[in-house]
Amino acid sequence: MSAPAMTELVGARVVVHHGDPGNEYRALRRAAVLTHLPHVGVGVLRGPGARALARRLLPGADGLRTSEACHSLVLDDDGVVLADAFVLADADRVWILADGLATRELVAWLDGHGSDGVELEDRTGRDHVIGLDGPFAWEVLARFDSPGVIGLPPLTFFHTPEGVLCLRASRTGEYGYWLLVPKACLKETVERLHRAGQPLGLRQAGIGTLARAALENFCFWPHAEGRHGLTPLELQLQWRLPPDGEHVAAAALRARRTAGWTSRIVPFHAAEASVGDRVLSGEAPIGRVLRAEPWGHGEGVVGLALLALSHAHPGFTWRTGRGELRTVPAPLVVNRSLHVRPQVHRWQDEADLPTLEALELPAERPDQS
Amino acid sequence: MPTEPEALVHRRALLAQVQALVVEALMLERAPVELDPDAALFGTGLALDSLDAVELVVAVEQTFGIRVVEDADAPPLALRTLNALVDHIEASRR
Repeated sequence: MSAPAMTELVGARVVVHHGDPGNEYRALRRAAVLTHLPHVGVGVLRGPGARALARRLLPGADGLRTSEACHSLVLDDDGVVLADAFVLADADRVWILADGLATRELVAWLDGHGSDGVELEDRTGRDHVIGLDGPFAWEVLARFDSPGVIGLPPLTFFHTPEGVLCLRASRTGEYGYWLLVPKACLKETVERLHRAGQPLGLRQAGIGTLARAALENFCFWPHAEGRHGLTPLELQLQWRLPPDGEHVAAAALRARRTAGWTSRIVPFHAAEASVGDRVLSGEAPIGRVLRAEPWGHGEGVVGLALLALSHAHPGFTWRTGRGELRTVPAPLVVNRSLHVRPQVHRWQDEADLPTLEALELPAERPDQS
Repeated sequence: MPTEPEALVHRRALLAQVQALVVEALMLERAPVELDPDAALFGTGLALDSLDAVELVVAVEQTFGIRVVEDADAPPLALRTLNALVDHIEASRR
């Protein structure tokens, strides 16, 4: 055990880990973890034009039916990613949950793009987001609410009688949920979740644990690769852009595609690497390191490099000032949620299920010459 | 310009071929370059479904003359991403 670590994200104090990051990580990959996400911004659009406004501003929000959500992005007018976001179509409103912008910033961004008479609600201080992640997160939620949760499809949500909004949304590669909890019932909700999860191996975790899993599963992390002024084209997030969608940055991104963008992120493994390292092919620069973290399953570090499109392919060895850097295929793990089927399995069967399998790094490529 | 390994040239060409094949086989309304090579094909990402998987496997097996699915009960890791599929095609040809 070490001292808990904290950080500040968009003005909020957030726990990185509670003193035992290794055990938090193992709980995330084996069972489930509960994470407080006080930095997530919450915006609400109300009124008859709310869905139309959401469609105009946020990619992927087209055609959402009530109780459906989409995994979107908050973009500036040039297409640069400002936040990872979920857009939720409720019966009488649209919720926007943004990781990367505080509630006040999100509301200012929405307001700055014209509200078309739609009522824009500033919920600063009213809500708190909790994450539940892990191969058995669904079972924790089923014990917390009802067994019907087991059949909740991805990117759908419901409200509990206590007013907690539960969204199925994974950002780690494991089963995942975001719970939007009114602060008035936060303490009681957290206690109930811990009681529900205690027999299922639930632990409390910090966002450092989620960030590590996100990197291993090649899930976008807005506080790392999302802080380099990149667009969805470089970040391999084009799947969040509907092919014919008209949103705030659609024109800018179309123009960028037409002009031909020049780089994209790619995972790598290296004995040593640090953010900002230049990546070289021979003596020629081909990119830079955006993210580098210890590879928890072996030697060295893993991370993300922004490389020239021509060189952003897995299995090749390039060079930094510190030594070799080998690009590797994503994801870096075969995680347990790929094997767990809520309709079939239960926590009590967990000993019979495969555990996390980390890929052997570096992957050798015999034919690079 | 940096010197390019021959394997890199092949890899780039094969990825472009697979991107185009996926767009054509699944009749996606996207340009091939819009398919990110490390994005998930199923679940999140492109969010393909089981019918798409069958179409994709048939198209890849016919085009490249390889087997994609060896065990019908196991999740085909070769279909997790486009790069995984390209890796599988490269490995099957070696």
